[in-house]
Amino acid sequence: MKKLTRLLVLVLGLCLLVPQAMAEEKVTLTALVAKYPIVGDWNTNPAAMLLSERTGVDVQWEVVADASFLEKRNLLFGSNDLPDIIMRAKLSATDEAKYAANGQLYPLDTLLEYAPNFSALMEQFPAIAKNITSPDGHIYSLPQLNTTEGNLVDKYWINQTWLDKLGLEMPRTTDELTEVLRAFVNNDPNGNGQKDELGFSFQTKTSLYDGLNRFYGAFGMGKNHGVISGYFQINDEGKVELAAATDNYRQMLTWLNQLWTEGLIDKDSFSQDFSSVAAKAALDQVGFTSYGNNYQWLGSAKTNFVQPEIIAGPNGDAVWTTMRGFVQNTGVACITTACKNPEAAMRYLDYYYSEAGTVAIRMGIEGESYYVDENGAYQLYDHIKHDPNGLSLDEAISKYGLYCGGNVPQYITDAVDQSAAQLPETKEANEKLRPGMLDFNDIVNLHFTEDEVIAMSRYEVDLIGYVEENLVNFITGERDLAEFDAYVQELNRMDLEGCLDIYQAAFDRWNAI
Amino acid sequence: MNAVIARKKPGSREDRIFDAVIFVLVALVMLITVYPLYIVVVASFSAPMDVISGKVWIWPSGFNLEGYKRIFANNDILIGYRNTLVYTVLGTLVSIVLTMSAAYPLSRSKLYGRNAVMFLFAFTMFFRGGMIPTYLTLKGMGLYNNLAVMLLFGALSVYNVIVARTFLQNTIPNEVYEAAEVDGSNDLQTFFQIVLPLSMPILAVLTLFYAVGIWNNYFTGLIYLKDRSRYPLQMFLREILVTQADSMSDGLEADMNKMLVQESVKYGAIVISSVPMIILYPFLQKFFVKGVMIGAIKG
Repeated sequence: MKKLTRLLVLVLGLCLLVPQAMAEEKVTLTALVAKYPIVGDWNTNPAAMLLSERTGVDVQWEVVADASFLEKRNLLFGSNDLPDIIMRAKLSATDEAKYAANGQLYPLDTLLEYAPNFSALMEQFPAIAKNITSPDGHIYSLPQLNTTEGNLVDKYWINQTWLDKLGLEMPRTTDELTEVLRAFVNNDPNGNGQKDELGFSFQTKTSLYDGLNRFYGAFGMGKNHGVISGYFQINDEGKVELAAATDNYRQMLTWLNQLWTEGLIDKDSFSQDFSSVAAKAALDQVGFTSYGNNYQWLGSAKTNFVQPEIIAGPNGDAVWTTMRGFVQNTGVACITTACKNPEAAMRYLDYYYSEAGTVAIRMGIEGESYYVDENGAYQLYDHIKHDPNGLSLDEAISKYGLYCGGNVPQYITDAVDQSAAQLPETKEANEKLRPGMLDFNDIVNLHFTEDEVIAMSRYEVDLIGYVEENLVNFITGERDLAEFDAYVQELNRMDLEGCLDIYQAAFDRWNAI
Repeated sequence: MNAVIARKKPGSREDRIFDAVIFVLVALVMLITVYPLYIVVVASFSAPMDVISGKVWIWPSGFNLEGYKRIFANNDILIGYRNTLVYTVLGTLVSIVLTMSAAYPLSRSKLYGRNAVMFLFAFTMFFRGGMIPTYLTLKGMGLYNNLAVMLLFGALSVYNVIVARTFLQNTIPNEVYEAAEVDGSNDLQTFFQIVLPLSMPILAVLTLFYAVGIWNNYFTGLIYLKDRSRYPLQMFLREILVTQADSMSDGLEADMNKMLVQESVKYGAIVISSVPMIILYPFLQKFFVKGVMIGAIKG
């Protein structure tokens, strides 16, 4: 009986296997990939091998370290010596416009029939098409999609321990925050008898506006579609304008200038990165800071900090604008026109967006790095969570998975996400911002044509350079805020109008899709 | 040195003031040069938190070897070290053979068309084909992902040829060649038995120039190598240094502790990768100073 069953299974198995093997000839593709330091060789990574096995597409990876990737990628495009696929391609909208104009990128929208998973997602989320379509109407690259809110919202943190010690209420407005910072700096909340408290300490290493953009919404900026490229916004009439030339912006600078003059802002803020802020927080010198979507970066000091509710501005505005859309990274993977079998390449990349594909990317191999518990939830094994050799979680899972460093085509949902975004405290913190949060579908990701890109590069240096220079000068008092009108006039002289026209055209296209 | 001279020959007051000023300036320049090296070494042994918060600037603070432990546990670094040693030793050898075989004939006035050849050499110092054509050419020659590219690409530096040629012209008088010829030495014998033994200083200089150049070179590896197992040390070092701990973007944990260890690793990696060249320098230094000086003096 046992023998018979075995035979039956064998025969059944053969019946299932044979036609498949005959129908699907093994395809081999070449690919270039940017390797995140802790992720191993993609040729031998278990998740990468699983993805190939499931799709019947073998991929020969040329693995280049993140640090050297852009030079290599640009060289290959420049010499037209391209592989079939470029993975973790980090194509900016500019790159895409340029390489598409050269005819080096395969239009992926013509291959959607081979991409059932991705097509379904595009139907479900109209935001995807809006944010990845090039000005010529084609799609040249695939995105990383993320619907886990915890990953998409950048926040600020206040020192609850200090509030308690000084018996202060949680600030709800910028005026109250000023009061609180004043008390922080002057009343020695760390109790060492020295006036070494820094009040508001932020980092500007990632970009100049990163430490301050949390307050844009409080001053009525970016309330329609968020703040674009740091300084632009869409006004109520649907027109693009330079937020950094508005009266609201002047009000924000006036407030920040007041904080600076009173010594309530850390003087290092315009030159430090987040690790310096974290170091100062560990020395118990920081009262308020703005960085990150969760507070793990504060290390041991994190227990002192909580995420306040949205701090409202002087006019009662309390909008939360520092959010990234569901389309978390664009330009993460593309197929080149050198590819002889774009259908297979698309079929292969599409599998990344399936639940099974994303699970492999994020959690590795079932039975080795993760298991499915009785509730059907994906769980990492303990030997991954607490590696016996002292590897961090990221390092341990990178022996199986591929997602570290981001920029991998995938569809991240709460079910497959194991990041700090899933921690209860992160979710709780999100709820505090909920009342003022924009709709994720409204977050804008603009694409420019090649001509626009060339024109924009000039504005980026002159105009944005001038804005940033003055942002610092106005806050630190190098330039008197009474000269704000002169500053706006200067911007107009720099052809702000022309710059806005380009943004408007791109935004109109975004709207039309 | 200045003090010694001053004692031997007590010059005028102006001379002593001049010496003092020079001494102060030189000390200042030395401080500016040495301090960054020093701080990297100190920081590599200090607690990373103290480094970030700026406590470490003269003395190490909170002794810590975690960075070095991580480095030696890292296979990449060891592979890189091995590769770079091989590339440096073999590459320097290839380079010196090529340089001397170009410099010697060019130093002899009896070589026909010497100026034309020299012009061709010098031309490449100012005009190049550009990166992409070079890449396509080398790829066409089958040098892509070929170990030979690490030894051959850029093996001959025209600058070094000129230095070596000038040295040979100026240190070996024509009479020596004439004497050799009279004694019946052929061209090869002259080169191997007379010129080379007299060229030890310049050989030392070339060794240092080429060895340091190859040791620090990451660009050839970056563009022309594909297999990680062939990467030179500098490629791995660059990975460690350039990659900012941006685990915020997509990582399971943005862990402060991990970031701190990474800070130690960076400093440690710099120390480890610089040590061999720093050790090499004193051994060659006396030749180095003499060699360059002699090569530079005319007549």
